[in-house]
Amino acid sequence: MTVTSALFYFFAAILIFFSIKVVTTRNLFHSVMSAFAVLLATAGLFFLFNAEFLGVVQILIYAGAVTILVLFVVMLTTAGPKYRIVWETPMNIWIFIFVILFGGMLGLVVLSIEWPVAKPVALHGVTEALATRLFVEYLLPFEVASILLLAALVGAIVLARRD
Amino acid sequence: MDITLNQVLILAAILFSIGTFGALTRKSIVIVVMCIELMFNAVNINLVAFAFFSGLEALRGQVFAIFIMVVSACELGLCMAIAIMLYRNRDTIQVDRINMMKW
Repeated sequence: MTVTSALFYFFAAILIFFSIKVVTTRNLFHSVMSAFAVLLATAGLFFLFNAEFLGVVQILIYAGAVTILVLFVVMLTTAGPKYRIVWETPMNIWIFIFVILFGGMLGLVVLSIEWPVAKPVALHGVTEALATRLFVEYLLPFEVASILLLAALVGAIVLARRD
Repeated sequence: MDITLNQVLILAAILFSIGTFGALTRKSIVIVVMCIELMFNAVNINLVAFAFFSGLEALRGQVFAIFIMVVSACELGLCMAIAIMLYRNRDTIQVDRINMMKW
């Protein structure tokens, strides 16, 4: 077992454990902090798969900004970390069965397709190549994405404004 | 690197299923939105793995992952604004209590 595969299994274990914790824990604050761990482990996976820029963006935006934003909302809308949510048991079983079937279907599809895999190489300068790709070939979607961000910014301010 | 693409895809499928379960069962809007973020994350892992295992030449997977991050950030910001507004108007952010559009 090489270092990379050991790291992969480590991050995968963190991801699965803390995702289950996000879904099952009753404390809202613990749930958000588990989501923080999941987002950080995802950044680790990105570094492992040679996506350094995406890993840094993941840490800055998701693990940083998104978690802080969600914690602010938790602070503003609930009565502190003692806030608990009651499970609704009868619904859960059917949703659980549905999700198990859905995940099994995804796994079957993944395993039944012969993926055309190239030889993975560790490249240097992926960020430069990504920037070229983004600003030359995908310039129009990039600009549209900036307009979308602006619209979401204005919309969020208008929605949350106290008037 | 002795990880195969299938292992990554199975991991992402597991994460997506867990996120789906959470988004369908949890009652708090905040946790529902976080579970949707988990599903976005699973998709991003898939895309980055596809970019890696296709030889890192085109990098289309990573570009697409960036756009997914943009869209999910917009979605999360708007959802949080809606949650604050609901709390101000209805004093709750529990999904099953927000039923004023039902009748």
